[in-house]
Amino acid sequence: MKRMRVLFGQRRLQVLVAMAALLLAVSVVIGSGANFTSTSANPSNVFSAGNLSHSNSKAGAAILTAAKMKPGDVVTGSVIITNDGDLAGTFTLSTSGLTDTAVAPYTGKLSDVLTLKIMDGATSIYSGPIKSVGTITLPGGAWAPAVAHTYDFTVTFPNGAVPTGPTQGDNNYKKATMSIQFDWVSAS
Amino acid sequence: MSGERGSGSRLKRAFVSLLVLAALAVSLQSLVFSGASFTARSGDPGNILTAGNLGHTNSRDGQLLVDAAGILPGGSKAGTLTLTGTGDLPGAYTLAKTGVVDTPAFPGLSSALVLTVEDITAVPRTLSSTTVASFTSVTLGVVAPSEVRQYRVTLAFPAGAADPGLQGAATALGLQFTGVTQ
Repeated sequence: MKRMRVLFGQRRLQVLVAMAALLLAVSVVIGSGANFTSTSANPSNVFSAGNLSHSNSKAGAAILTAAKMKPGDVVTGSVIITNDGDLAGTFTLSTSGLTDTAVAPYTGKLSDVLTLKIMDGATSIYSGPIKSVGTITLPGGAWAPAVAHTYDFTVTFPNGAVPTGPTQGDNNYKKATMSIQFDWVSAS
Repeated sequence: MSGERGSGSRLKRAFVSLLVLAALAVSLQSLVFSGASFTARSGDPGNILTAGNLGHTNSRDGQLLVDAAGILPGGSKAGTLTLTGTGDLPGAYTLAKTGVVDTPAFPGLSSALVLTVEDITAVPRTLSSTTVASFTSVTLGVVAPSEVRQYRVTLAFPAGAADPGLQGAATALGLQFTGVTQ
């Protein structure tokens, strides 16, 4: 009797093993045969930064210079600014590095008396004291690539009244020198 | 004990909150900066503007040019001077009368004396010749930098202008050279 139970127990174990094997086989069949697949891809999503740059026909050089100026004199110069990048940009013009040198006995600062006019064709960009340019947003909104503007600069030494003395009036600007830098900035 | 635990937990939460806020601030900042723009710059330095200098020297500056003390009808006295352009600009020069004082005022010796201005740099050339009273100014022309001019100023008492009332009379006359840039 005891042996019978053992045999029966063994058979039950065999049945369980067989059923497990069957389940595994069925699941393999289901797993291997159940899925179709379809795939697609979007490769080569390339992101490149644009380039904002501009050319300055007189980069690193003066737009205008003058020596031996006297009251009534006018000095002119021009510069071409071109958006040579591949992005649109807004442009500003400002000044920096203003210096004045007076030579004794004269004390006048030339930047106090010189006036500057900047024209873009028929459009006035600035007209006033050369020392008060500040920062000017140049007209035209965002310049498209390849857009160019020519700016004409005119500096005038106004002719005041006849000086009343050797160091009075316009005489006080004799031998004076001033220097200024024009800065162009473009921003996307 | 549980109170200590509670405050520790609150501290921890506060620390975490601060951490999150800081991270948020940093990310916002980077957003602001990164979203600003590309920029490009160029400059035009060395725009140098210099005023010139107009000047001259006068060899008799501030001095008596003609001493005509004791001049008699028919007589004359002269003085010369050298004018030199010293600046770096040319100037148009004039010689002008700056004042006349007659003693006595009437009849006025200045109405009798004849003032003659000559350019004697080369061949003498008369620029003006009139009575001191009627003289105002004379144009000398453009004097270039370093140019040298010589002038002679003569005071003459014409014999025909003799007047007993002028005996002992005196005239003081000032003359001034002025150059103006052109």
